[in-house]
Parts: sequence; C-alpha cells; structure tokens
Amino acid sequence: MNGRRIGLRKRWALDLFSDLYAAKVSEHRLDTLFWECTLRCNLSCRHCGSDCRVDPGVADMPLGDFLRVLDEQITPHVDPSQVLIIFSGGEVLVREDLEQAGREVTRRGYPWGMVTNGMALTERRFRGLLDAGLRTVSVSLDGFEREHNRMRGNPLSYERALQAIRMIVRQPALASDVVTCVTGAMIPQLEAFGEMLIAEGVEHWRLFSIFPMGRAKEDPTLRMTDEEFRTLLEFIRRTRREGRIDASYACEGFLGGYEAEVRDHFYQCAAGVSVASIRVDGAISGCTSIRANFNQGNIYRDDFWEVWQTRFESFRNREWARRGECADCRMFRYCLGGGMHLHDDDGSLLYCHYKRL
Amino acid sequence: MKRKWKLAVAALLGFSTACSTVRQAPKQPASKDQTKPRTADTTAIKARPVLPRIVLMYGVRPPVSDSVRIRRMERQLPDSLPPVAEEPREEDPAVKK
Repeated sequence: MNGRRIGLRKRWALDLFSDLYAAKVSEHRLDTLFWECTLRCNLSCRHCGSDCRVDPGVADMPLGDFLRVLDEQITPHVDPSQVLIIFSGGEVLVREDLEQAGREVTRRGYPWGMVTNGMALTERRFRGLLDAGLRTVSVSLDGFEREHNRMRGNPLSYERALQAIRMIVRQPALASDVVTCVTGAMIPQLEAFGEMLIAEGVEHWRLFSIFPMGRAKEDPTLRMTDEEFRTLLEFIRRTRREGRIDASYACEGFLGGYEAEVRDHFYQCAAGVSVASIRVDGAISGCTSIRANFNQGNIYRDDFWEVWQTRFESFRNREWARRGECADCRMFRYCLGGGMHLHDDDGSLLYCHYKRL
Repeated sequence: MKRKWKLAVAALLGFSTACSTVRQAPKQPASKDQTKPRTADTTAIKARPVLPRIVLMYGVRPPVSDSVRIRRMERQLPDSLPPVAEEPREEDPAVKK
C-alpha cells in the first residue's frame, strides 16, 4: 500500500475530525495530568528520551508540593473523576512514597496510573499500589530477552518486566498495556514477540518508534529505516484486523493512509489541549517529553489553573509550525506540524512520520 | 454543522473513532457511588459528546469503568479478587472478643 495516499472517505472523515479537534482545542478541558515525580531511574536505557540517570542531580518533587497545587489550583475547577493523573519519571517505583501519593490522589477522587519498567515491582509493592488505588499501568518491554536487556543495559530487566506483566494481567480491575520501543533489529521478531504477549495474556500492546531526543539522539542505530517503519505499520494494521491482541501505534505523528487503521483515533496532539504536566522542577507544560523551552510556567511562582487557561498559546495555535518542510505541505491542516515533542529548541520539526511513508 | 452531526457523519463513514466518541459521550449524571468533587465549581461541566481520551506517548490506558471492573472481577476465581476482599481486617477485633 502507498502509505501516503488517503482515500476520499478518509479525507472526509479527517476533515470532520479536524473541526472536532478545533472545538476540543477551544474548550481545552483538562483530562490528563502528568506528575513527573522523579528523574531518578534504576536503569540507563539506550533510548531514554528523558536522559534519566540513577542520580540525575535533580531532587524529586516533594509530594506535598504536588498536592498543594492539586488542592488549591486544580480540584476547584475540575471533576476529579474525569482527570487521570499519571505518575511519570524517571522510574516511578524508585520513590518510596509512591503508595502514599497514590492514596492521596485516590482520596481526592482522581483515578491514577503509572508507567514502569517493572524492575522494582515486587508482589508486595504491587499489592500496596493496588491498595492505594492504582487503576492503570503500562509496562515497557522492548522485545525478547536479548534485545530488551541490550536496550535497557541490565541483564535482569527482561525477566523483571515479564514478571511484572504476569502480575498485572491477573488483575481484572486494572487497565494495562505493554509498551514497546521498536528498533530495526526488532522488526523481524514482531510476529513472534506478539505471539508471546498473547500467550502471556496481554490484551493491549502499544508500539512506537524512537525519536531523536535525549540519549536516543546519540545512537542512530536505534532508529528504523523508512522501509522498516512501513513494515511496522503494516504489522500493526494486520494484527488489529486479526483481533487477537489490541496493537496500536503511539499517539505521535500523522500517518496518512494508515490513519484510523493503526490507532483507535485519528492523529491529534493533545499536549496543552487536554493534557498538562507538572515537571520535576515545578515547570508546567504539556506532555513530559516536550522540550523545556515550551514550558508555560512553574508551580513555584505561577497559579497552575491560570497558566492552563491563559497560556499554552503555542500548543493551541500551531500556525507557528507552518515552516520548513511543513510550510507547503498539504497535510498540515491534519497534522498541524506533528507532535509538540517532535520540535527542537527553536521549534523546527525533528521528524516527520508522514514523509517516511 | 453541529458537533453531533459531524460525529454521526463520521460514524456513517465507518470510522470507529467517531462511533466510540458517541458511545463514550456522557448521557446522564455520574452514579451516586462515585466520589464527588471536593468543591462546587463543576457546573460548567456539561454532558455532551467529547473526543475520547487518547493514550499518550508516555501515558497509560484509560482506567476500566466501574461496571466493567465489577463484571471482570465476578468472572475471576475468588483467589484473584483484590486484597480488600481477601483480608477483612476490620472484623479481626470482633472475632477476638
């Protein structure tokens, strides 16, 4: 299939969706809040977009600081049951007060979830998190043992992640998925890896490619060729049609003819539209993977809700992105310059998914 | 064109995105057993079709709804029920008496 070709039916739907997205932007109702509670990590992954370290030199944000913002500046304006709080890192399990943080946000009526590499998820810790109201969790698993351990730089990481997945899939009340960073080396193994996940009882599998940020920027071998990228999308599309596991491509990037065939939704960047984050240093932004020069404020000097309501202009009006290779692209009206995290410090696009198809 | 019509047309075009959007649109107030917000400034939150929450790059899947959670737990064997059901801690003192 020519991945760039978009049929008439899909074009109509994309036009309709663009209008709906514009309404969503105008409304900018907060439905997801990341709390980057630490930058510490118990692994040192080759592809880490955050460049996390065992000792990042940045202190964790005290729980009390986050709760103060939640109580005084967010809760008065939202229905907590409709705002998902995601604990993000670093590796969140290195925080010893994670269960307490979970209990506190649960007590306030917010659902919460976390992303983990599984290294520190013991049975006891898992029970504690469930008791603290954990509702949804994602585990990173980047391939079979050899590939995963190579990416993660730790010989135990695969086994621990697999143990974590086995614990999680046994919990019917918990939403979960497995997240895989796909490299070129992984492409020939996708079928077998998918079969393994199905055998382990995994129902949802999210795959994404590595974008040039953090440590991943320094290692071009982690990135896929255009042909491998198309193979990945074809694999996801085929797997979704089979229906044995809910595979999907990550939220980033407009995918032309693959739109609505490799994800549950058309492409949209929700950062700053329905998604905000409080970074470890107090910075207020969209998603946690967006560069610091897009920060919109800081909880230690600004009112979060005022920032959410009155700033975020660069997130909600993307005309500034219509330059460089996007300047005369006919797809701009659908992609609006791609995900916010794909722009470098001066706003230039680092990576166009559509042009790789 | 109104939002509902756009969603309906998108659904007719065969895109599950639109269908799930309509399905997920809140039709009635939250059930009584849901935790209420702590403060009152929620009057502006109206029941209307909304685009579904997407799964973000470093995010997680949306939580399972309460009704689905209960249904799934009922299907499971007793030994897989959550710890709250396994450990009736509050009953311990009464048993000792």
